[in-house]
Amino acid sequence: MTRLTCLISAAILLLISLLLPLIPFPVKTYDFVYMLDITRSMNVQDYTDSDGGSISRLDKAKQAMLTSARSLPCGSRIGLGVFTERMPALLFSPIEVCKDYAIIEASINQLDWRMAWVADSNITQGLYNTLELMSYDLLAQSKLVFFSDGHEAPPINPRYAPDYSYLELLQDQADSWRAGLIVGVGQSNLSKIPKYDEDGTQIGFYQAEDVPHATRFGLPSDPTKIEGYIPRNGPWGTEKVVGTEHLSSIREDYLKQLAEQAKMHYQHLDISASLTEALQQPDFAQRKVQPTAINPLFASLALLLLVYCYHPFRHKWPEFSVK
Amino acid sequence: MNLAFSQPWLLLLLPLCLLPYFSSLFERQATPTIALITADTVTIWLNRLIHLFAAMAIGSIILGLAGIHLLEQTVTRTGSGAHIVFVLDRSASMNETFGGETPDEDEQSKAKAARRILSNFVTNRPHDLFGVAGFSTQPFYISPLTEHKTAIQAAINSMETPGLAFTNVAKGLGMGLSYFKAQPHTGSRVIVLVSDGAATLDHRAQKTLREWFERYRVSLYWFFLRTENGQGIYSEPESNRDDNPRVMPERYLHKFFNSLSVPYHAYEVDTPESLQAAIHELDELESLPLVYQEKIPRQPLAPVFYFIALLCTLLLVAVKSLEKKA
Repeated sequence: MTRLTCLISAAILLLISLLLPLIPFPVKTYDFVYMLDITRSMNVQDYTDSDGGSISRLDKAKQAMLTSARSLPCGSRIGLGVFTERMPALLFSPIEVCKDYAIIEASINQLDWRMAWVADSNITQGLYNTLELMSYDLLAQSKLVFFSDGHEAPPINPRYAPDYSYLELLQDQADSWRAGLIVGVGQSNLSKIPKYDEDGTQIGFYQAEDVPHATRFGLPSDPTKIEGYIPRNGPWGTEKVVGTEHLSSIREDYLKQLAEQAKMHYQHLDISASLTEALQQPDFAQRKVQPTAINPLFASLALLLLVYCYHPFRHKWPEFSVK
Repeated sequence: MNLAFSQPWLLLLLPLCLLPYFSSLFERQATPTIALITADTVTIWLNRLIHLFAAMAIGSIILGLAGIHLLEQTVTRTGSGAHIVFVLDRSASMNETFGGETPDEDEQSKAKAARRILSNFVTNRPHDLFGVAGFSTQPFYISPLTEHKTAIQAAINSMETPGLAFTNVAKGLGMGLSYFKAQPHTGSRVIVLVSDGAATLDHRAQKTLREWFERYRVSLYWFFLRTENGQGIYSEPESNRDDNPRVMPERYLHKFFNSLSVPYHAYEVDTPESLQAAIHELDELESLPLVYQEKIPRQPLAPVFYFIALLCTLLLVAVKSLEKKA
């Protein structure tokens, strides 16, 4: 190719990159609602931050939320909510992660266990109600990301757990329904749960006598297994049950089982990056058409041509063809 | 100038600009004697110009590729407006209609009516900053004071979702007031309390609220969404025995708000229309001069540089086509 042709092509390419409008390209985006468990057991400090200090499950989850929000491609959206007892509370419906990042960041940083309007923790019912909430028009596009440690207080009676198959009936297409991701927060070894007073100052840890260790709600499914069962006066037996409910570890098996029931994925939160990866899986991706500038492509071709015209390894003398 | 690059690492390519000084655009031509070619000033300058054009062409493309742009700039302007914090009641009763019933096709719930009207209000106030806080038994922080309308709308949207527990006005107001802690004092500062009930305030809460309202100079609007046949702000007690905060929390909360040293307006609202009227009044009242920051979005300069590169390249094309063919 002669250098004259090169220069002319470079000029044409530059002209194209000047005049080319934005071209609509399909991009992957995501739309999530982050729902954070703010019950007491989330205060357990069983994570380590980068400086080696211990941080609570709540703080770890918040960090992971922010890290993952930053890693999502622009055009993705994030909504935020908290959950305690049986009910979720939506704080805001999904907003764009790049343009409104400052707001997402401020709100996530302000999440606190003291927002909890009741102290109980019934995760299976909470998840059920959250999924119901997700079927509102407002959130119909979004996938749920449910952060929890799986620790319920008081322990629940599985007989009265909600029936998740009913949720499927609410969907138009039952098969294509995948609700999202459950993120298990916490470590597998038992840790003490901090106890706070009304003003939020820590006054120690929960002791064995502070909490019920077994469910006392409703009727047992199998009375023969209950020691000292008396149908009317002691349906749960008369023995005092002492267990380890005042200590907390992540209940992964339970969360996985919930995830299976609700047709969700499960991911344990070990390092913040693992969440980022779990969120950006094809199941959650939405294809959106976004106008994209591809002028740099043409401009860089023009640059290559110009550099070729001037590259210094050229023969000093033109090669004479021998006739 | 506030220039910045979106891909600054591409600037590492800039040394490529020097290429034209190390090699020539033209083929070498042998000539019998050097005396035939005199290096006069015109030739020297033409040569320098050609080098310069080539260097400029390469450099401009690199600058363009690196995403050169003028930074987003904020310009301080004066207009009229306010810093408004919505303190929204998220208690379970907000999901009922003004008639105290479950909403059906004809009638909206109080929460929905409030959401729609607040959302219109936000759209019609271009320069205001809005923050949103919610409360039921406990307060919760929803979104900071911001001018991003989409985010504010998203926060107001949350009213459509099911309500939670009870109505703890004091904590909600405390949360709302805390939004003004780190805000410069300009324009009017307003808290709009939207609730359908009231609660007794203990002494500690009263003292704190009184102090904070005075410190931050925030005026208060209370949109009380009254349920039909329910107690209102202006209800009179039937007997002396009923005249206490436990029986008539609305009346006493109103009394407390009146005793604050800041402007206070109460609106008893029992239909979506009266809520609209109340909002309209707020719109007219709260328009003090406000110093606000207008953002001029960042401006990409890449096209300008591509254009320079194009001009330079065209000149090179012209020069090259004039070259004497061997």
